[in-house]
Amino acid sequence: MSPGEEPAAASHRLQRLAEAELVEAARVGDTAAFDELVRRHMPLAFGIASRVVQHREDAEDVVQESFIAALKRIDTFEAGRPFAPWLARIVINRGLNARKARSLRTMAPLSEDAASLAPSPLEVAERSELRLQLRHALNELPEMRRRILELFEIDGFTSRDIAGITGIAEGTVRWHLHQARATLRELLATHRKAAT
Amino acid sequence: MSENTRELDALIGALLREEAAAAHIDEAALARLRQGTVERAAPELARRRAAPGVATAAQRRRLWPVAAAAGLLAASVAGVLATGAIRNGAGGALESPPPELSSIDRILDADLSDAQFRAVLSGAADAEALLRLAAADPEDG
Repeated sequence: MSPGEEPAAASHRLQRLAEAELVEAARVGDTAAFDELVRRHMPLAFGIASRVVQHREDAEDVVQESFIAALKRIDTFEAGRPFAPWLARIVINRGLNARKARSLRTMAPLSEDAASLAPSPLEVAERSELRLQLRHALNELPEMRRRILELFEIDGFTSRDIAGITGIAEGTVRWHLHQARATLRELLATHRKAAT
Repeated sequence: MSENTRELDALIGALLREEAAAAHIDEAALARLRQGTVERAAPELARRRAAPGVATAAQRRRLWPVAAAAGLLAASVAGVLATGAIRNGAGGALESPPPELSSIDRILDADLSDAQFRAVLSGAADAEALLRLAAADPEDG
Protein backbone atom coordinates (compact mmCIF):
# COMPACT_ATOMS: atom_id res chain seq x y z
CA MET A 1 0.00 0.00 0.00
CA SER A 2 1.37 3.41 -0.89
CA PRO A 3 1.99 5.81 2.01
CA GLY A 4 -1.14 7.84 2.81
CA GLU A 5 -3.37 5.71 0.60
CA GLU A 6 -6.82 4.72 1.93
CA PRO A 7 -7.18 0.94 2.46
CA ALA A 8 -10.20 0.72 0.13
CA ALA A 9 -8.36 2.62 -2.63
CA ALA A 10 -5.30 0.43 -2.13
CA SER A 11 -7.46 -2.68 -2.37
CA HIS A 12 -9.01 -1.52 -5.66
CA ARG A 13 -5.60 -0.60 -7.05
CA LEU A 14 -4.17 -4.00 -6.14
CA GLN A 15 -7.11 -5.83 -7.69
CA ARG A 16 -6.35 -4.12 -11.00
CA LEU A 17 -2.65 -4.97 -10.90
CA ALA A 18 -1.35 -7.66 -13.23
CA GLU A 19 -0.08 -10.79 -11.60
CA ALA A 20 3.54 -10.07 -12.58
CA GLU A 21 3.37 -6.71 -10.78
CA LEU A 22 1.97 -8.35 -7.65
CA VAL A 23 4.71 -10.98 -7.70
CA GLU A 24 7.37 -8.29 -8.04
CA ALA A 25 5.86 -6.26 -5.18
CA ALA A 26 5.58 -9.34 -2.94
CA ARG A 27 9.19 -10.16 -3.76
CA VAL A 28 10.32 -6.95 -2.08
CA GLY A 29 8.07 -7.53 0.92
CA ASP A 30 4.84 -5.68 0.06
CA THR A 31 2.30 -7.26 2.44
CA ALA A 32 -0.75 -5.94 0.56
CA ALA A 33 0.52 -7.37 -2.74
CA PHE A 34 1.18 -10.75 -1.12
CA ASP A 35 -2.30 -10.66 0.42
CA GLU A 36 -3.82 -10.00 -3.00
CA LEU A 37 -1.87 -12.92 -4.51
CA VAL A 38 -3.16 -15.13 -1.70
CA ARG A 39 -6.73 -13.89 -2.25
CA ARG A 40 -6.58 -14.68 -5.97
CA HIS A 41 -5.11 -18.15 -5.62
CA MET A 42 -6.49 -19.37 -2.30
CA PRO A 43 -9.52 -21.28 -3.73
CA LEU A 44 -7.31 -23.09 -6.25
CA ALA A 45 -4.70 -23.93 -3.62
CA PHE A 46 -7.30 -25.16 -1.17
CA GLY A 47 -9.07 -27.26 -3.81
CA ILE A 48 -5.84 -29.01 -4.79
CA ALA A 49 -4.66 -29.44 -1.20
CA SER A 50 -7.95 -30.92 -0.03
CA ARG A 51 -7.94 -33.43 -2.87
CA VAL A 52 -4.35 -34.47 -2.15
CA VAL A 53 -4.55 -34.74 1.65
CA GLN A 54 -8.27 -35.67 1.88
CA HIS A 55 -8.73 -33.77 5.10
CA ARG A 56 -9.91 -30.22 5.62
CA GLU A 57 -7.68 -29.13 8.52
CA ASP A 58 -4.64 -30.71 6.93
CA ALA A 59 -5.50 -28.99 3.67
CA GLU A 60 -5.63 -25.62 5.43
CA ASP A 61 -2.15 -26.23 6.89
CA VAL A 62 -0.84 -27.28 3.51
CA VAL A 63 -2.26 -24.14 1.88
CA GLN A 64 -0.63 -21.83 4.41
CA GLU A 65 2.70 -23.64 4.23
CA SER A 66 2.57 -23.58 0.43
CA PHE A 67 2.02 -19.83 0.20
CA ILE A 68 4.87 -19.21 2.64
CA ALA A 69 7.12 -21.62 0.73
CA ALA A 70 6.17 -19.82 -2.50
CA LEU A 71 7.10 -16.46 -0.92
CA LYS A 72 10.45 -17.80 0.27
CA ARG A 73 11.19 -19.12 -3.22
CA ILE A 74 9.68 -16.22 -5.15
CA ASP A 75 13.11 -15.12 -6.40
CA THR A 76 13.22 -18.31 -8.48
CA PHE A 77 9.84 -17.60 -10.08
CA GLU A 78 10.21 -16.50 -13.70
CA ALA A 79 8.50 -13.17 -14.23
CA GLY A 80 5.86 -13.22 -16.94
CA ARG A 81 4.93 -16.86 -16.43
CA PRO A 82 1.56 -17.75 -14.90
CA PHE A 83 1.71 -18.00 -11.13
CA ALA A 84 -1.03 -20.64 -10.69
CA PRO A 85 0.78 -23.69 -12.16
CA TRP A 86 3.92 -22.80 -10.21
CA LEU A 87 1.93 -22.53 -6.99
CA ALA A 88 -0.03 -25.71 -7.79
CA ARG A 89 3.19 -27.66 -8.00
CA ILE A 90 4.25 -26.42 -4.56
CA VAL A 91 0.81 -27.26 -3.11
CA ILE A 92 0.89 -30.80 -4.53
CA ASN A 93 4.40 -31.45 -3.22
CA ARG A 94 3.54 -30.07 0.21
CA GLY A 95 0.31 -32.06 0.24
CA LEU A 96 2.10 -35.28 -0.57
CA ASN A 97 4.64 -34.59 2.16
CA ALA A 98 1.87 -33.90 4.67
CA ARG A 99 0.13 -37.09 3.69
CA LYS A 100 3.31 -39.08 4.12
CA ALA A 101 4.00 -37.47 7.49
CA ARG A 102 0.63 -38.41 8.95
CA SER A 103 -1.48 -41.46 8.58
CA LEU A 104 -4.11 -40.75 5.98
CA ARG A 105 -7.40 -39.85 7.53
CA THR A 106 -10.65 -39.87 5.57
CA MET A 107 -12.20 -36.59 4.64
CA ALA A 108 -15.30 -35.48 6.50
CA PRO A 109 -18.37 -36.64 4.56
CA LEU A 110 -19.11 -34.21 1.77
CA SER A 111 -22.36 -32.33 2.08
CA GLU A 112 -24.77 -33.81 -0.45
CA ASP A 113 -26.91 -30.66 -0.52
CA ALA A 114 -24.20 -28.80 -2.46
CA ALA A 115 -24.83 -30.91 -5.54
CA SER A 116 -27.64 -29.03 -7.24
CA LEU A 117 -30.35 -26.46 -6.69
CA ALA A 118 -33.74 -28.16 -6.48
CA PRO A 119 -33.96 -31.40 -8.43
CA SER A 120 -36.58 -34.03 -7.73
CA PRO A 121 -35.88 -36.60 -5.00
CA LEU A 122 -35.42 -39.25 -7.69
CA GLU A 123 -32.89 -37.07 -9.56
CA VAL A 124 -31.08 -36.33 -6.31
CA ALA A 125 -30.89 -40.03 -5.49
CA GLU A 126 -29.68 -40.91 -8.98
CA ARG A 127 -27.10 -38.13 -9.05
CA SER A 128 -25.84 -39.06 -5.60
CA GLU A 129 -25.50 -42.66 -6.67
CA LEU A 130 -23.63 -41.57 -9.79
CA ARG A 131 -21.26 -39.40 -7.79
CA LEU A 132 -20.68 -42.18 -5.31
CA GLN A 133 -19.73 -44.49 -8.15
CA LEU A 134 -17.54 -41.81 -9.68
CA ARG A 135 -15.77 -41.38 -6.34
CA HIS A 136 -15.13 -45.13 -6.18
CA ALA A 137 -13.92 -45.15 -9.78
CA LEU A 138 -11.63 -42.18 -9.10
CA ASN A 139 -10.15 -44.01 -6.13
CA GLU A 140 -9.36 -46.92 -8.41
CA LEU A 141 -7.38 -44.73 -10.83
CA PRO A 142 -3.60 -44.56 -10.40
CA GLU A 143 -2.87 -41.48 -8.29
CA MET A 144 -1.01 -39.56 -10.98
CA ARG A 145 -3.82 -40.19 -13.48
CA ARG A 146 -6.45 -39.06 -11.04
CA ARG A 147 -4.52 -35.91 -10.17
CA ILE A 148 -4.05 -35.04 -13.83
CA LEU A 149 -7.77 -35.50 -14.52
CA GLU A 150 -8.68 -33.26 -11.56
CA LEU A 151 -6.18 -30.55 -12.51
CA PHE A 152 -7.67 -30.55 -16.01
CA GLU A 153 -11.39 -30.87 -15.28
CA ILE A 154 -11.72 -29.05 -11.95
CA ASP A 155 -8.91 -26.52 -11.90
CA GLY A 156 -8.99 -25.78 -15.62
CA PHE A 157 -5.26 -26.19 -16.28
CA THR A 158 -4.14 -26.99 -19.82
CA SER A 159 -2.15 -30.14 -20.57
CA ARG A 160 0.93 -27.93 -20.94
CA ASP A 161 0.36 -26.39 -17.49
CA ILE A 162 -0.12 -29.86 -16.02
CA ALA A 163 3.10 -31.04 -17.64
CA GLY A 164 4.86 -28.18 -15.83
CA ILE A 165 3.12 -28.93 -12.54
CA THR A 166 3.70 -32.67 -12.52
CA GLY A 167 7.05 -32.70 -14.30
CA ILE A 168 5.95 -35.19 -16.96
CA ALA A 169 5.80 -34.74 -20.73
CA GLU A 170 2.77 -33.01 -22.26
CA GLY A 171 2.03 -36.03 -24.47
CA THR A 172 2.05 -38.28 -21.42
CA VAL A 173 -0.38 -35.92 -19.68
CA ARG A 174 -2.78 -36.24 -22.63
CA TRP A 175 -2.39 -40.01 -22.58
CA HIS A 176 -3.27 -40.12 -18.86
CA LEU A 177 -6.29 -37.90 -19.51
CA HIS A 178 -7.43 -40.18 -22.31
CA GLN A 179 -7.03 -43.30 -20.15
CA ALA A 180 -8.77 -41.74 -17.16
CA ARG A 181 -11.72 -40.64 -19.27
CA ALA A 182 -11.96 -44.04 -20.92
CA THR A 183 -12.18 -45.71 -17.49
CA LEU A 184 -14.81 -43.28 -16.23
CA ARG A 185 -16.82 -43.43 -19.48
CA GLU A 186 -17.04 -47.17 -19.14
CA LEU A 187 -18.29 -46.79 -15.59
CA LEU A 188 -20.93 -44.23 -16.53
CA ALA A 189 -22.11 -46.18 -19.57
CA THR A 190 -22.56 -49.27 -17.38
CA HIS A 191 -24.42 -47.20 -14.81
CA ARG A 192 -26.75 -45.79 -17.46
CA LYS A 193 -27.48 -49.21 -18.90
CA ALA A 194 -28.32 -50.49 -15.45
CA ALA A 195 -30.62 -47.53 -14.85
CA THR A 196 -32.70 -48.06 -18.03
CA MET B 1 -15.27 -38.61 -31.07
CA SER B 2 -18.87 -39.87 -31.04
CA GLU B 3 -21.84 -37.94 -29.69
CA ASN B 4 -22.15 -40.44 -26.87
CA THR B 5 -18.48 -40.08 -25.91
CA ARG B 6 -18.75 -36.30 -25.86
CA GLU B 7 -21.86 -36.53 -23.72
CA LEU B 8 -20.16 -38.89 -21.27
CA ASP B 9 -17.06 -36.68 -21.10
CA ALA B 10 -19.25 -33.68 -20.31
CA LEU B 11 -20.95 -35.69 -17.58
CA ILE B 12 -17.59 -36.74 -16.13
CA GLY B 13 -16.48 -33.10 -16.02
CA ALA B 14 -19.73 -32.02 -14.39
CA LEU B 15 -19.58 -34.76 -11.77
CA LEU B 16 -15.98 -33.95 -10.93
CA ARG B 17 -16.84 -30.28 -10.50
CA GLU B 18 -19.78 -31.25 -8.28
CA GLU B 19 -17.40 -33.28 -6.15
CA ALA B 20 -15.08 -30.31 -5.91
CA ALA B 21 -17.97 -27.97 -5.06
CA ALA B 22 -19.16 -30.31 -2.31
CA ALA B 23 -15.73 -30.05 -0.69
CA HIS B 24 -15.74 -26.27 -1.22
CA ILE B 25 -14.61 -24.07 1.63
CA ASP B 26 -16.95 -21.18 2.49
CA GLU B 27 -16.00 -17.54 2.07
CA ALA B 28 -15.61 -16.87 5.79
CA ALA B 29 -13.26 -19.83 6.22
CA LEU B 30 -11.30 -18.72 3.14
CA ALA B 31 -10.96 -15.22 4.60
CA ARG B 32 -9.68 -16.65 7.90
CA LEU B 33 -7.24 -18.86 6.08
CA ARG B 34 -6.05 -15.93 3.98
CA GLN B 35 -5.54 -13.77 7.07
CA GLY B 36 -3.67 -16.56 8.84
CA THR B 37 -1.45 -17.07 5.80
CA VAL B 38 -0.51 -13.40 5.60
CA GLU B 39 0.17 -13.29 9.35
CA ARG B 40 2.44 -16.35 9.12
CA ALA B 41 4.23 -14.76 6.17
CA ALA B 42 4.89 -11.51 8.08
CA PRO B 43 8.48 -12.37 9.19
CA GLU B 44 9.48 -13.31 5.64
CA LEU B 45 7.85 -10.18 4.20
CA ALA B 46 9.66 -8.05 6.81
CA ARG B 47 12.95 -9.73 5.92
CA ARG B 48 12.37 -8.91 2.27
CA ARG B 49 11.52 -5.29 3.00
CA ALA B 50 14.77 -5.01 4.94
CA ALA B 51 16.79 -6.55 2.09
CA PRO B 52 15.04 -5.61 -1.14
CA GLY B 53 18.12 -5.99 -3.32
CA VAL B 54 17.69 -9.70 -4.03
CA ALA B 55 17.78 -10.37 -7.76
CA THR B 56 14.99 -12.32 -9.46
CA ALA B 57 15.70 -15.34 -11.67
CA ALA B 58 15.23 -13.17 -14.78
CA GLN B 59 17.51 -10.46 -13.42
CA ARG B 60 20.14 -13.06 -12.58
CA ARG B 61 19.92 -14.40 -16.14
CA ARG B 62 20.30 -10.89 -17.55
CA LEU B 63 23.18 -10.18 -15.20
CA TRP B 64 25.05 -13.39 -15.97
CA PRO B 65 26.81 -12.17 -19.14
CA VAL B 66 27.78 -8.97 -17.35
CA ALA B 67 29.16 -10.93 -14.40
CA ALA B 68 30.95 -13.35 -16.71
CA ALA B 69 32.47 -10.51 -18.73
CA ALA B 70 33.55 -8.78 -15.52
CA GLY B 71 35.16 -12.00 -14.33
CA LEU B 72 36.86 -12.45 -17.67
CA LEU B 73 38.14 -8.91 -17.63
CA ALA B 74 39.46 -9.33 -14.10
CA ALA B 75 41.22 -12.56 -15.09
CA SER B 76 42.70 -10.87 -18.15
CA VAL B 77 43.92 -7.92 -16.14
CA ALA B 78 45.46 -10.26 -13.59
CA GLY B 79 47.15 -12.16 -16.42
CA VAL B 80 48.47 -8.97 -17.98
CA LEU B 81 49.78 -7.67 -14.69
CA ALA B 82 51.34 -11.02 -13.77
CA THR B 83 53.03 -11.26 -17.17
CA GLY B 84 54.28 -7.70 -16.82
CA ALA B 85 55.50 -8.35 -13.29
CA ILE B 86 57.36 -11.47 -14.40
CA ARG B 87 58.98 -9.59 -17.28
CA ASN B 88 59.79 -6.67 -15.03
CA GLY B 89 61.13 -9.07 -12.43
CA ALA B 90 63.43 -10.64 -15.01
CA GLY B 91 64.68 -7.22 -16.01
CA GLY B 92 65.16 -5.78 -12.53
CA ALA B 93 63.04 -3.01 -10.89
CA LEU B 94 59.26 -2.80 -11.29
CA GLU B 95 58.17 -0.42 -14.02
CA SER B 96 54.89 0.49 -15.72
CA PRO B 97 53.63 -2.22 -18.08
CA PRO B 98 54.81 -1.70 -21.63
CA PRO B 99 52.19 -0.16 -23.97
CA GLU B 100 51.50 -3.42 -25.85
CA LEU B 101 50.34 -5.07 -22.59
CA SER B 102 47.87 -2.31 -21.63
CA SER B 103 45.22 -4.25 -23.48
CA ILE B 104 42.02 -3.60 -21.56
CA ASP B 105 40.64 -1.18 -24.15
CA ARG B 106 41.56 -3.61 -26.92
CA ILE B 107 39.81 -6.44 -25.09
CA LEU B 108 36.71 -4.31 -24.65
CA ASP B 109 36.78 -3.44 -28.36
CA ALA B 110 37.34 -7.01 -29.47
CA ASP B 111 33.62 -7.93 -29.60
CA LEU B 112 34.09 -11.55 -28.63
CA SER B 113 31.97 -14.28 -30.19
CA ASP B 114 30.46 -17.08 -28.10
CA ALA B 115 33.15 -19.48 -29.36
CA GLN B 116 35.90 -17.11 -28.36
CA PHE B 117 34.28 -16.50 -25.04
CA ARG B 118 34.10 -20.25 -24.38
CA ALA B 119 37.74 -20.60 -25.43
CA VAL B 120 38.72 -17.86 -23.04
CA LEU B 121 36.77 -19.47 -20.24
CA SER B 122 38.53 -22.74 -20.98
CA GLY B 123 41.86 -21.24 -20.11
CA ALA B 124 42.99 -18.50 -22.49
CA ALA B 125 43.12 -15.90 -19.73
CA ASP B 126 46.09 -14.13 -21.19
CA ALA B 127 45.19 -10.88 -22.94
CA GLU B 128 47.25 -11.56 -26.03
CA ALA B 129 45.80 -15.07 -26.44
CA LEU B 130 42.35 -13.57 -26.16
CA LEU B 131 43.06 -10.99 -28.83
CA ARG B 132 44.59 -13.61 -31.12
CA LEU B 133 41.40 -15.68 -30.76
CA ALA B 134 39.26 -12.63 -31.48
CA ALA B 135 41.26 -11.88 -34.63
CA ALA B 136 41.23 -15.48 -35.84
CA ASP B 137 37.52 -16.23 -35.38
CA PRO B 138 35.38 -13.28 -36.41
CA GLU B 139 32.24 -15.43 -36.87
CA ASP B 140 29.88 -15.64 -33.94
CA GLY B 141 29.41 -19.23 -33.00
